[in-house]
Amino acid sequence: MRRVLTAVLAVTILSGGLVVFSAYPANADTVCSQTDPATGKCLIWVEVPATPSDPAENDDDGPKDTGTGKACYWDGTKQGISDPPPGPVPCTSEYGYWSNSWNCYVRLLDPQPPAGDPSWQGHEPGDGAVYQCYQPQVHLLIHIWSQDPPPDSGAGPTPREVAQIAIEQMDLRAIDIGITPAPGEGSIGIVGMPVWMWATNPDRHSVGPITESAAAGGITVSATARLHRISWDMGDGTKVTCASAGTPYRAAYQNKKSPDCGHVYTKSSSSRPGDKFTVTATSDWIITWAGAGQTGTIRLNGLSRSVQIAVGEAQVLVQ
Amino acid sequence: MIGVKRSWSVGRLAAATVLASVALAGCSEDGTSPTESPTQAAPSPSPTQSSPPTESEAASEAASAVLRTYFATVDLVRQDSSVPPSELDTVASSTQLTAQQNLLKSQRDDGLHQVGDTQIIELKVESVSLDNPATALIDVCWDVSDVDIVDAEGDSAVASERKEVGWTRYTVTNDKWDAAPEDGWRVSGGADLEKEPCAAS
Repeated sequence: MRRVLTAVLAVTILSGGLVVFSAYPANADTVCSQTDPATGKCLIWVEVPATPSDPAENDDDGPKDTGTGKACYWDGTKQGISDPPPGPVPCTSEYGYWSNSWNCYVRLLDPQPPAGDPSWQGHEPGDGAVYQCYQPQVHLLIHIWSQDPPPDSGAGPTPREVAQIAIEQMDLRAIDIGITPAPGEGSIGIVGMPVWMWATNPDRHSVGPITESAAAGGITVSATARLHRISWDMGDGTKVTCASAGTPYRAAYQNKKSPDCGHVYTKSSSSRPGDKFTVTATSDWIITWAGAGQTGTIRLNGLSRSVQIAVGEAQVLVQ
Repeated sequence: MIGVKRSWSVGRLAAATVLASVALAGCSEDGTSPTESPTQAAPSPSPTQSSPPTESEAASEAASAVLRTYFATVDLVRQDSSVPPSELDTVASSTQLTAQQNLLKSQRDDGLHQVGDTQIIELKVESVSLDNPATALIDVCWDVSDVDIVDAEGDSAVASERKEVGWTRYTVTNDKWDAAPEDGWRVSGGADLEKEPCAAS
C-alpha cells in the first residue's frame, strides 16, 4: 500500500548526517536517536564530535564587515547536498546562533537530557553539555555533546577579513621601476624623446597574478590578486595610467615609442629640485576572493615607489 | 484505546485523554498488568481510594497524561492542516517541539497529510525524578499500522522501512513543577528503544 516516496530524502539526510561534521576525526559518530513512528523518518539525530570545537574559530580579530561578506554561511556540499547551494545565512535565528564549523544553528538543549541518555555519549550531566544542532536547510536536527559551547560564527571574521589575511600572505609590493632615461647620475633624457616605463624584475609579488588561501573562524577563503594598472606620476604634472606592467626598453628600439606605457616630456627638469623629475609608480591591484559560499572584490591601491630622472633640452646638451 | 476524532478540538481532546489516562494508570493498554518492574520504576497509583497519591504518583500520572495528549496532538496537527502548529506547544518542548514543528512544516510544505491514528499499545513509566526539572522517562509501545502519510492524490509517502509497531522512551519534563505540577509537563525528548515489539491490541 505504501509507496516509497521519502526513501531518497531519508537517505540524503542520513548520508548528510554522517558527514556533516567532516571536520571532526573519523571516530565521530552519528546515529538516529528517535524515529518518528508515523513517517518512519529520523526525527532527531545524535552526534558527538571527537573534538569539542574548531580552534580556528578562535582566530577572531577585528570588527565585522557585513558589507563585504557574511560571517555566517551554510555549505551543504560537506554533506553531499547541493541544494540549497552554499551561501550566507543569518547569524541568529529562532533555532539559536549559527556555527560555521558545525554548519548548523546551535542552542543549548533545555532541559538537558537525563543522565544515561545517549546524547551524553557516556558523559555525566555537568561534564560539558548537550547542544541542539539544527540545519533548517534540510530539516536535520542533531544532538551533540560538547565540552565547550560551539563557536558563534556571528562573532567571527567576515570572508573579507579572512581574505585580507590571504592578501597579507601574498606579500604584495610596489614594482621596481624600469624607465628610460635611467635614474642616477650620468644618464639624462631629452625633451621630446620617448620615455619608456615598465616594471623591472617582475614577479608574482610585484605584478601578479598570485593566489593565496587563508582560514579563520571556520571560513576558508581563496584570494587572487591581479595587477589592474600602474599609475605613473611623471613629475612634470602629467599622470600616465598603464594597463600593463609595460615593456622593457632595449637599445634596438632607438627612438620608438613604448607600445603600452610611455611618456614624452615637453620641458626639462632643470627647474625641479636636484634638476630632476621625481617619477612615482603606484600599483592598483584587484583582489577577487571566494569562500563561505560568497565572492567579493578588494581594491588595493597604494603600493608605490619613486625614482628621479634628469631630462634636458637637446640644444643645451649639444652646447 | 485512545482514538482521535479530527473534529475534536485539541482542548477537548486533551481533557479526554487526561481523564482516560488517569483511569487507565497502572494498567497496560491491553488490559494486562505491566510485565516488568524496573529497579527505579515510579510507583503506580493505587486502584483503591484508601490514600491520596504521593508526589511521585501524581507526577507519573500527569506526565503519562501529557504523553498521551502528545500523541493525539501530533496526529491531529498532521491530519488537519487547519490546526495551528502552535498546538504542539501545549504538549512538547525543547528539541522534541522543534523536531515536531520542523517535520510538520516540511510535511505541510510538501502537501502531505496523515490519515489514521497512532495507537498506544503500552505505556510504562520507567522513572520519575522530582529534581528540577522534574523528569519522567516513559516507554511507549506504539502502533502505526493504521497510519499513512499521503499526498493530495492519496499516494503514500511513508518510508518503506517504517516499523508498524515499536518502542520509544520519551523524556517528559516539567520545569515548573512547584507552580504547575499538573499542567507544566511537556515531552522534551525521546529515543528509540530496542525491545521486542509489544503485542498489538
